[in-house]
Amino acid sequence: MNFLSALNISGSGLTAQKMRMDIISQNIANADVTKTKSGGPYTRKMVVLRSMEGSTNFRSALDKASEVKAMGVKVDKILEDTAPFVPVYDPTHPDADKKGYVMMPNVNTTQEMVDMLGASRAYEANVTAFNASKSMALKALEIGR
Amino acid sequence: MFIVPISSMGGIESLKPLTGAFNSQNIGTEEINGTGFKDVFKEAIGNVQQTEAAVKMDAYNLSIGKTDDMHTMMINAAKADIALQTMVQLRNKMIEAYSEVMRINI
Repeated sequence: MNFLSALNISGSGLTAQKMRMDIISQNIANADVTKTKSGGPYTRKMVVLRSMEGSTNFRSALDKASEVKAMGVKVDKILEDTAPFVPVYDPTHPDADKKGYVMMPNVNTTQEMVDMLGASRAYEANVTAFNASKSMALKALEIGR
Repeated sequence: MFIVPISSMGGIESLKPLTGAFNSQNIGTEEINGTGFKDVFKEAIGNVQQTEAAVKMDAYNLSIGKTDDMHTMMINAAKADIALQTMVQLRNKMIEAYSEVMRINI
């Protein structure tokens, strides 16, 4: 089914922004986690998006061969923020070190809120683009009526 | 002074082949090449069926919790809508052409 590739492009944008939103929610939810499976406190995650044009899987090679110029977006990888953890003095905390400091995650909730706003608006923009291309397709059916 | 004589009208002979045109063999027996309307319409119906099946599948996956993205289902629903509208328009055109042909006075 490839009669409307614009819809698929917007769809890939929606999927990518939803992934971003998921990661932001994860960061906010884990903003106070001091112990993870790997030992230290939670590390902030970041989503790296990439255009589908550069990917080298079979499907994209096939699309390129058949001249389908559907360049959507996809999640390339999820990086960890290398910013240092925030030490907080709390001697009663079970994860506190000998000096009484607890290492808190490097999640800045304000920044996450800003990122969330960006993801939300980008999602809305993709929905608007989707609706526009859908109404264009439906408008085309009215030609000659 | 030399007057050019009026030549006879030579066009009559060329009309002759027209009489033979009606009983020639090549009317109505030519094979229509390429994709006919039937194939286009069949494909449109196939599109509708395909997209409807995709929507059904998405709704099922969403309801059993296999996927959690709403937009995939909505995108497929929009596609199904467009496919159905296209099919309906094609049908309208076909009916219109058919009734136009049936309206020919014999």
